[in-house]
Amino acid sequence: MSESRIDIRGVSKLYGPVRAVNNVDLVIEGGSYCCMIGPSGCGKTTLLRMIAGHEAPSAGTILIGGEDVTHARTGSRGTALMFQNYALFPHLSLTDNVAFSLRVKGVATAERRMRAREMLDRVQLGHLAERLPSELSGGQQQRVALARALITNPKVLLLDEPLSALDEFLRLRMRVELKRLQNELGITFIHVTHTQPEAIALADQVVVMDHGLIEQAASPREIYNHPHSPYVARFMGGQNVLSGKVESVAGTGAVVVAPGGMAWDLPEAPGVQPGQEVRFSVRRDRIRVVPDEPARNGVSGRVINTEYQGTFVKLALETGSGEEFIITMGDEAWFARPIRVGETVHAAWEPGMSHFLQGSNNSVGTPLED
Amino acid sequence: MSRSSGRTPVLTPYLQVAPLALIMLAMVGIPIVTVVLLSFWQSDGIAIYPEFTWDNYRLVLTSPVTLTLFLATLKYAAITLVATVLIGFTCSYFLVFHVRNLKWQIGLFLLCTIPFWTSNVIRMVSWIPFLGREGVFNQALMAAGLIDRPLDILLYSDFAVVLTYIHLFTLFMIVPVFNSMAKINPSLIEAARDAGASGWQILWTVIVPLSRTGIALGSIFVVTLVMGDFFVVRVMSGGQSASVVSAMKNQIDQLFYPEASAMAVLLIVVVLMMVSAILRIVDIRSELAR
Repeated sequence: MSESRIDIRGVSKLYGPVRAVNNVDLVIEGGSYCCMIGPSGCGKTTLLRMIAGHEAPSAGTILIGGEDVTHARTGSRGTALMFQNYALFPHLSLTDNVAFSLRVKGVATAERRMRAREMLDRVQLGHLAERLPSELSGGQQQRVALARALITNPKVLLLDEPLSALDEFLRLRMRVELKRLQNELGITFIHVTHTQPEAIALADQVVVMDHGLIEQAASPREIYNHPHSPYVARFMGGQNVLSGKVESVAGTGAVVVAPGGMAWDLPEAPGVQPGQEVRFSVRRDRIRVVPDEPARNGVSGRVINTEYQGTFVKLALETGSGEEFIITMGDEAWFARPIRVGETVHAAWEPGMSHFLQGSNNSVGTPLED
Repeated sequence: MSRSSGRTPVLTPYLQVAPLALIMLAMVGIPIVTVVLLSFWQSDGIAIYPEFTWDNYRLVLTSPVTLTLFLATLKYAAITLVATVLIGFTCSYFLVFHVRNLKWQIGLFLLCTIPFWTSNVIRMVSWIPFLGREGVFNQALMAAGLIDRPLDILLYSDFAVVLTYIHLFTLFMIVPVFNSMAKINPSLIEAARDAGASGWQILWTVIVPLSRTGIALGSIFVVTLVMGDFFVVRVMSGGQSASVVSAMKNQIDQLFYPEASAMAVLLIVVVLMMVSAILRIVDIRSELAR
């Protein structure tokens, strides 16, 4: 067993009557990049903090490298946490910040300062070693936080929304750097985020959470192409979620009919019964705009918004389902025949594109309002 | 901007500081100048002559009593400082890091200030029936069989003086220390714990250094208050001990104003040196701006 593999077994965390994390089971392979994603209050940060040892689980066990660390002391379980606001010590120079964990372990001054310098060089901040954190930019502070976390040689690096305080440009640069660093070190990274592109771009494994539960844990491609529930489809984006009643079942497939009468073919919908209300998703970029109303596997609606996005154009339709139906089309196709707001548009897709959503979580993926 | 830079752009900032400057001049500047002037005048114990002389300073600086007085006062200040730092730091630590609930924090903080709702004199005098020979404390000790005759050291002693100082001035330490401790980002403590620091290591490497502005400010309050006191020394030592200012008071009572003024100037110099030493250790200005 890899020494940086993480096993989370039946872990719950209760704050009074609130279940912040609810009986979660998860395996994170050693040396992988795992992104936990979900809206605020979904329990992702609590789960991260339990792995780090800053919170004790109310129930369940956490294993790192096969060793039970559920109640092991923070700082002695092979994890290092990088805090959202970096939490650099304002009274210490960068060198002393990075050397902090060596200092509390009793490493001699000269040696710990030398090792801290090496680590600062590694994040390209060697020339600022004697500055105070307040004299640095946000991006530089983040590198210091990273250096401080890595100097302990952790088996697992935990990152709590590491990029959220940076501007767009720096965020993209640091994203690349995080991935490079993870490849180089070969240790497990667990990265909490609420930004979908970040998770998709970085992760080997994406863990989508909601209300203290894991909705889906899979590779980014799997999550994106085969979302488990309407919530995952909506939250990860790029999908339209449609619903209707099952009309007939044939083999593993089914035919679903919309309230308006349109029939949709679901190639894979195991276990559904005729008459059952089901939901499925269709990728926005797999939908064509067609001149006439299609007989099957399509929708019609009034255009309520168009958005030019450079390489594609985003078209929002009002179809009467209560949820916007979004089509992304190539910019050339759109400019060849621009579509105005208010026009009625017909859309169609191949039957194989409809993906049945097994999960029942139908929330829209926005944070709870309490 | 364009409006204010119209007619008197140069004068405006001066006008803005004028009210405070005038008050400071009238309440601080003039009295100090008077004292300094007076310290160079002559007197014969009956009248004061506005004629320049070094005699007052010669007398003050060559008298062995001066050194004794300053040492005694510094001793009071040092003991009081150590005690108030320890108590102030502990109380603030408890309020900030153990009482997480804001309501309780404010409630307990107000509790600390309750003694200050009465006058200094009452708070000070209230120690007398407690510490006296026939006082509550002695009687309790005797009733418990711990001692067989009353402890004389409790009242009218240096102990009583220092105890009263601590009682009167601890709040001046708690407030600034609490203030700077409350500003410590809790995630710093988590970061320290994440790095493997123990409770004591967190205290020494994170909390104490980040509270030092408050400790420095509180120290300035406590030191200047103790150095400038004469009333507590006079009452609580029962006239057995003296401080710089109580000696000054004696000289004033005997109408040796110029001599008292010279002593006052010397005290100001000493206190200024102490304050600037504190400021040299902790850069309060930059830390407050943090």
